[in-house]
Amino acid sequence: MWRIFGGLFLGWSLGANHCANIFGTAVASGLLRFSQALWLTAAYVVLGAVVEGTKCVSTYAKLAYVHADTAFILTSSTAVTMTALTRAGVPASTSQALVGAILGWSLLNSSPDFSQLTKIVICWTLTPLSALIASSLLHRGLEKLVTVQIKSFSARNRFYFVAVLVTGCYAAYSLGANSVANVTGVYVTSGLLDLRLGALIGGLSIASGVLTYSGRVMMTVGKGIVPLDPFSAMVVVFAEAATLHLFTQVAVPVSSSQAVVGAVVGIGFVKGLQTINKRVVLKIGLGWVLTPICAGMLTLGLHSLFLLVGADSLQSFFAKAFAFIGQLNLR
Amino acid sequence: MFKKWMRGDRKEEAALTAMHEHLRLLCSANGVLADLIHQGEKSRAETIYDLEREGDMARRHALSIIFEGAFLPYIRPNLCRFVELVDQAFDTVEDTARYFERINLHDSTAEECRTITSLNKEMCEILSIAFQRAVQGQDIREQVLAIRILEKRVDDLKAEIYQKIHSLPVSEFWQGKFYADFLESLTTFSDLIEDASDALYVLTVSFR
Repeated sequence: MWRIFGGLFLGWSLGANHCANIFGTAVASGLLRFSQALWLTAAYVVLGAVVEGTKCVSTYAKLAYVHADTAFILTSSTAVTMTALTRAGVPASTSQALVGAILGWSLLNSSPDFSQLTKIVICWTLTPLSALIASSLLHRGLEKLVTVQIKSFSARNRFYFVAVLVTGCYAAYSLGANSVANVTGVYVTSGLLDLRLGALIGGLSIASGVLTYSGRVMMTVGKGIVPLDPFSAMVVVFAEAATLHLFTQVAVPVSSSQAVVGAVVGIGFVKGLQTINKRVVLKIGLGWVLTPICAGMLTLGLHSLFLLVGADSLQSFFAKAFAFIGQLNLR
Repeated sequence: MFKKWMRGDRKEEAALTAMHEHLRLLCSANGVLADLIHQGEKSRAETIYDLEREGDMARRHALSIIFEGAFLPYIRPNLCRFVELVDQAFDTVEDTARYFERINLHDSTAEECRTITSLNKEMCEILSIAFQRAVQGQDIREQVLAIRILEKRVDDLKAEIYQKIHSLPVSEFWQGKFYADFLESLTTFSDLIEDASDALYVLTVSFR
């Protein structure tokens, strides 16, 4: 059971990295206080994980068979990759990191199901595109509606507050529903956790990351790409949430980071291309390419080490490692 | 947060009312200043000082409500900038009255000064209308344009006055100093009103 700590670590880093995609724009544009954003996100992430989180778990089961020990290594490698990217202030994709890790592990002794991989990669490509299109259309459509229907300062003020709050909660729900498979999905497929328990534990671990370590990426997403007004912030969050919810229904865990970046760039398209900070977009794009490669290389390295020392389980690997350290004359 | 839901728009309405009161007092002070300069009743300057004190109270009230949490933090800086600009305009009205008490309008520039006072009064009233329209979500482009046109006329009159006073003899240093300061504050008012109308326009655009 201790092996699930790898998943808990991954959930924590996922929450820390992805909270920005929920209320990052709202906090950066001043609609919500940081603490309010954290608690709302945490609550709705857990709700989403418990209610709809089980849908995406089966996709990982089809991609490759994983043993409980392997699940620990995969989630730990993914978490290390995600934490490094979070430290660098880059919004990265946990699903990409995990799939990269699964592929890295599978390369040495089994081959992954590439039909599933194709489906996943197509969804990764469609995620930012869908969010971009959704945010552009919503911005154009809703802008007229809001400016015509809601005129006075105080009424519009209230509308923005309520709208951003509601869409943010929806986005947190969608994040929980879509991303919990990344955290505990491999443990469910390895038989270590029950489906419902996996969803609950995954949701709670994501919430812990949200509450403890999410400020840095929040500001990168909120302020780095395009300066957002309250209306655009609301549209971005809604487009992201709808995209995630859509992919949850087709049972593919996708990246909320890619969705939010796509949505923010969509706003940039509406407001004029000169408003987009291309350097930040390139930095984020580089993160997307590096994420699966880093996680894949890390797990490939670990698997090679496993094979090199002739370990058949984590226990035997640790026993051999400790025995080796004991033989060293450290004095 | 639930308190905010239950409380509704009361804070926002209170802030807007205080801002409107601030503007109303500025218009009143400007009206008194126009009478002061047109009729030369220097005793009316006291009324302007009283109105300025009331205006300060209205400004403090408006700012305190905004800082207590009225409106989204996103637009608070723009709201505060508008309030501060109106307050600066108020200060120039008070300064103008103070300097006017200490000088005698020279015949060669008196007409221009009176015209500027009338234009200032008109600009202030237009700003007040623009504010009312803005908070109701109506377009204020016409009002902003009118203020710009009037400000240009004040600038032209300012240039004319400075052309004329160049050749005027100065009998005493302080008389000359007060006269220069009077003309400076009289003509600065229109700049501040123009800045305030621009800030109001930015506010309406940013809140769309």
